[in-house]
Amino acid sequence: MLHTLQHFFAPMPGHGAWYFEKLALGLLFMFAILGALQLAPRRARKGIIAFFTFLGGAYYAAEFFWPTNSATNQNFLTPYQDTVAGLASVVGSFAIGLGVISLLQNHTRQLARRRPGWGYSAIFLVFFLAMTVFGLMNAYSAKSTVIPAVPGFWARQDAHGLFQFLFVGGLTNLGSATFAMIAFYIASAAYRAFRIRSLEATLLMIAALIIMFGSVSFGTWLTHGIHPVLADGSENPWANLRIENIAQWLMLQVNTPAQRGILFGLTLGLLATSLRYWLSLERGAYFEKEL
Amino acid sequence: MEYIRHLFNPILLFGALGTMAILSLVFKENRFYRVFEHVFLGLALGYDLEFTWTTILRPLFWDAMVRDGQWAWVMTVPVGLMFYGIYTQRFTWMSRVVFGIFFGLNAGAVFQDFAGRVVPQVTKSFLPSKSLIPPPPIPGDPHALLHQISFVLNNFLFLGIVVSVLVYFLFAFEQKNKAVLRTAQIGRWVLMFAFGAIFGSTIMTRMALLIDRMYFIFHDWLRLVKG
Amino acid sequence: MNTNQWNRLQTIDRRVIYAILLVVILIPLFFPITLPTFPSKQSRNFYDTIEKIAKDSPDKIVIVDGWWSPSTRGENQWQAQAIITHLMMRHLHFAILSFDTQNNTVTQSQIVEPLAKKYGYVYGKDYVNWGFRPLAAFVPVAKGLVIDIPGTIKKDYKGTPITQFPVMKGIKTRSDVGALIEITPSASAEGWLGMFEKNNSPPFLFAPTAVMAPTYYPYLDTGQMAGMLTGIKGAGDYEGLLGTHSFGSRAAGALSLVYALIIALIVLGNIGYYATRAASRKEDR
Repeated sequence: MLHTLQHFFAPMPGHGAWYFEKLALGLLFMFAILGALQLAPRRARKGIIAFFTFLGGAYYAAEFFWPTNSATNQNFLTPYQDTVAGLASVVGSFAIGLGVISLLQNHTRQLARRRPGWGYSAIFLVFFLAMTVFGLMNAYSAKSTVIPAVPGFWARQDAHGLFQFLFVGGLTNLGSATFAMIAFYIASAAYRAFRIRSLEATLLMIAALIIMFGSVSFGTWLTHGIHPVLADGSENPWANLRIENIAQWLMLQVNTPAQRGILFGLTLGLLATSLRYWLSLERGAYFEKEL
Repeated sequence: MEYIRHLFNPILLFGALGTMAILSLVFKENRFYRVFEHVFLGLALGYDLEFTWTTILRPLFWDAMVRDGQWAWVMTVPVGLMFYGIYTQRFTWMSRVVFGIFFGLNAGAVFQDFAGRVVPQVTKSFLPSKSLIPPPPIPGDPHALLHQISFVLNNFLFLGIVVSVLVYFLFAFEQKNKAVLRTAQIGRWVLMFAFGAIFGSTIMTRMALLIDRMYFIFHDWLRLVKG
Repeated sequence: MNTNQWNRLQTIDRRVIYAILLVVILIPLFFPITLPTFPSKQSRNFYDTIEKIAKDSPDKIVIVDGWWSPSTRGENQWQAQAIITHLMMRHLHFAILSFDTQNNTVTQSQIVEPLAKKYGYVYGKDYVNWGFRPLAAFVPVAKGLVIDIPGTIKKDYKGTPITQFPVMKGIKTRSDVGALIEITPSASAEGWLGMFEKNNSPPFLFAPTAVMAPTYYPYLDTGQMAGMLTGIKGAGDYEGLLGTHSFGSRAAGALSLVYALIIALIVLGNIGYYATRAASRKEDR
């Protein structure tokens, strides 16, 4: 039985007899399953989703709990991790179209109806197409000419060069700039919003100050007069009061256990939520919608 | 002349103009910003599409199915199509099936995550032999006693903080017991301290990103900053 | 000062603050500040771990995994640069792996290739690029690397089977990995600690953005992480330890001044706030 299955699913390099038939059969088979799901009564849909959710989680749960062979530290499910990785990558990647479709829909509509700001939509579409086309050209034939040379004016531009222009010049720099903007807002918030009105706010402030002082040379310079070693070559206990050492102690002795407390709290929450997702016990707008 | 040509290097010029355009938003909403905002969106989406094809779908799906003849990959297409059910009323529920599979995949891995990542945290915190008995003094250490005392004090403090934060979390609902309330209050203060540490380092991250942009403009592009 | 003046100071145009911030950042770029810096214990442990691998197990491969994109390059790129410089200085073999779409291209073309020229590193012989994997595949990839590295990775970023590269010779399972280095702006360490690492074997070295760092101290305490580079400060520490002075060291000066500015702004803001309150109360009476 297993052998027949293996034979059936075996790869067919060179596209031997039945390759295209098997492709069609595979598609047909999956669409038949989808059709059957669609025909199932409406009230069964929640159960179907719950079943597939459970199936998705069952592999790792079983792989973890099933006793392993002590020599190889594996069980019969372990070798399939690679298949799971491939399936998750491919199926997950099909979702890329969701983002593309909704953005394209939005911007082509703006453009077609000449709504205010349609010029920006045109710019969006031009750069989207340019990146897609030159990116693919770069991947398939990086050396192909895109813009021929004009003697004395510019050199020949190949697909790789254009891709570099868009990716290094455009995408990476614009990405960094977008996130750098927040620096300005933090400075303004420090001045306008950070009011020390309670014990809690004071504690937060003190911690932030010590961490800031402890991590830059301007701060460490303040206490650099306390030498780490005494005249007789032994360790100086007062060196603990150097600002970088105070900061270090606070990080290790106060921040660490506090973060561990948070970690335990979060873990309990994560375990509970994961189980609820897995067993479809989760409630909320998304999960209780009529299907 | 060399310098002028450098200033007009397309990659640097694109990056510099884009950076200035994006940062100009903080001073005033303007068209220069809006143009580059849309350039960024277009590039990002195009890159994601191209990259997903080139690195995932082409080698794992297309090449495997067409070149290597692993025909069974074709069966992933209908599964992938289920995502697109959200665009129709009739099939929208189908997208939930495939989202469910991914929810399940992540949820099922939680047991191993707990065993591998969190259990060492628990044992380190609550095994007294690991935290409350000081290690033997190093021979010739003039401050041996001081070191041992500080070891024990530090670890008591550590344990106390873990417990108080946990109490704060676990008894977040209405509580009447005075001891629990006080412990939770301490937990709250310590948490504020931890958040302060995060706030301090947030400033570092955000400023580093802006410093990097300035370095790009004045060092890489304008070459006014040396070294 | 009277209420009016305090009020005016309170409602100062935010653009003035933005302009001051820009000036404060630019000054130390033009006139470098050279104050002594002290590498943190975590940065030093990071550095020492690499040194130890170079000494004790130079045949193992080091995995450099990146989850960052250029949006956090101000910290992550300079960390990556310092770390890869160290690996090349000590002639350690390494593999690049990415879980962010832009990360792989940036790491390969903007960090590794320029450094490879300088240190004479040859692709396939001294290092290899395992390419990009989507987040949906993280768990199976991390778990797969434990038992079967060539079977999990299969091909490099250009589609060449990795078993063809001399650098992959003898690299089969987790025990052939010298260290796992994680450079990231997001919560990626958890997955590796849960799915791949076992009692810090191989050593787990973590290079997060500064904002992430405080959250991960518990893992340093248990020894589940061998070392950590905190944002740009960590990159600067590392450059100091290596003796290569690049952006990290330069940024340290600017960061000093910016911190001074932020502290001054908080203090001024609070003085203004309390002064306005006190003054208006007085006038009410």
